[in-house]
Amino acid sequence: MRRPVIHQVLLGAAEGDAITQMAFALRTELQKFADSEIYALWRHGDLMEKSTLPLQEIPESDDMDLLLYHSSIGWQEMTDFLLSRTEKITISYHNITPAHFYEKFQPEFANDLKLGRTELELIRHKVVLAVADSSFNADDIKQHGYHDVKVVPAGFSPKRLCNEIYDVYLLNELAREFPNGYVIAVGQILPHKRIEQVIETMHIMNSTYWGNIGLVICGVARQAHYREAINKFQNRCAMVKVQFPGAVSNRQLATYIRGARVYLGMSDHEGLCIPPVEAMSLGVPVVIKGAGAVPETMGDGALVLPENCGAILAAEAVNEVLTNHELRWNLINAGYLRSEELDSQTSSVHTAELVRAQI
Amino acid sequence: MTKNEEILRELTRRVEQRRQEGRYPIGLEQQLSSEFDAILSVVHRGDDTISQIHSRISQLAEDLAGQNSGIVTKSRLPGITIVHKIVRKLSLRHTRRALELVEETLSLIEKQLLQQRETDSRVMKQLEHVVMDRILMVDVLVEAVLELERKVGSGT
Repeated sequence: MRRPVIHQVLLGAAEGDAITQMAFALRTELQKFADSEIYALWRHGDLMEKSTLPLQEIPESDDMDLLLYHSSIGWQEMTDFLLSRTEKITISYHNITPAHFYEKFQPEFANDLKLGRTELELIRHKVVLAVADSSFNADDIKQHGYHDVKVVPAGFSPKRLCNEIYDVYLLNELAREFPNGYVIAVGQILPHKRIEQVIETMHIMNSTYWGNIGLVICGVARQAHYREAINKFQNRCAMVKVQFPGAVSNRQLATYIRGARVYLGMSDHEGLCIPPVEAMSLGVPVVIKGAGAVPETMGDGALVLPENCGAILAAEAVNEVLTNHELRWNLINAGYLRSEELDSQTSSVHTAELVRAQI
Repeated sequence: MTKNEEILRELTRRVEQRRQEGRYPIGLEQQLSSEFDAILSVVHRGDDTISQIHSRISQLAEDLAGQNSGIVTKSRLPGITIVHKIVRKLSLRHTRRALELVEETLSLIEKQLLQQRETDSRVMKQLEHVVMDRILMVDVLVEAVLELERKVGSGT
């Protein structure tokens, strides 16, 4: 009997990118019963060149049983590609950031985000299965006419960094750079992640409590304008020393997180929010703004701030976690439990089974 | 009430108290936020013009090299595609000098804008240092005044 052919399609594949990681985990499960590869329009870095294939090389629709598309933004070429296909499509929805975050300063990017939502509606008639990685995302995609949406955090591995060994040289460097310790924020440097508010928070906290706590912002800058503005703003917020390591390996990321005294997130929109869960699994207390799917993902494992929280309240919260030992250890413990809980719920196997049932 | 809510209530109370004590000046968050917006709008405006000019230069260079005219030369009528291609080659030949001049002019404008941006950035940096010194001095003075107020308060 012929093995089914199920390929995954991504707009961009990059090391450290959460959606790419999910696609890899899912491919491992799919390959147990099907011929399955990952095709991407853009492949960043040598590792991706080796481990994924260019979209142009994807087999014809007649030679495939199902196409699993990961949706997170729009791109005309991708929409045209999906509309040209005749095989069944499964959509894995990771959330499309609302365009209003970018309309003012990045209208072109805002248009891509809008196109992503239009695309959801254009391809809907071809979609046989819709999977969302959080209830928040399921509710979001339902607004575009999808009804029976399955909620499975497919391929999400909360404890993926736990087995990474320490980079001791990096730890030593961090200890010299930040003698009083540092707070960490992880994620792409994009406007809706509100990196400027993270810097404001630490500036206010250090100004108020003279803590001289540093800040490490670990993530790739996707928009030059925003990155440059952050650079300039950093000079304004002189009470906090900030380090931007840029793209880092998993081992370095695990080291940065483990060495931090608190994980801080101030994003205004999140469809799932993986990095704070990874911080929880590494024993770092999490303080985070409760935007989008954050309260759902964090559960009781973090100190979740109100969605409209400003830098002052966040500064108080960070200081409290740094100085109140009981709260600190309770949060660390609650974080471990939550990451364990999410680890047991997450299931590439379950998603692969859902996909298999559609053939 | 959950533990999270309890902690938040206490933190909110503390923020209010500190606002009253003057440790968090009124409008501090809004001020920082508007400062960032101002930086973002300046950064965006400058870069955009330069990148647009840069993109036009690239298009022009491609056009001059005959790689991409942006105009379709294909025709449904037999033989007309070749006519289109010949006309395109001829018009390129006759307008090449003018296009080269446009390309040179755009390159000069881009160079000038980049130089201007560098100068602006240098001046801004110098100004930032001066402003930062003043802000730090104000911070120190505020602390000193608060300390004095505390001493006076405890004495009466």
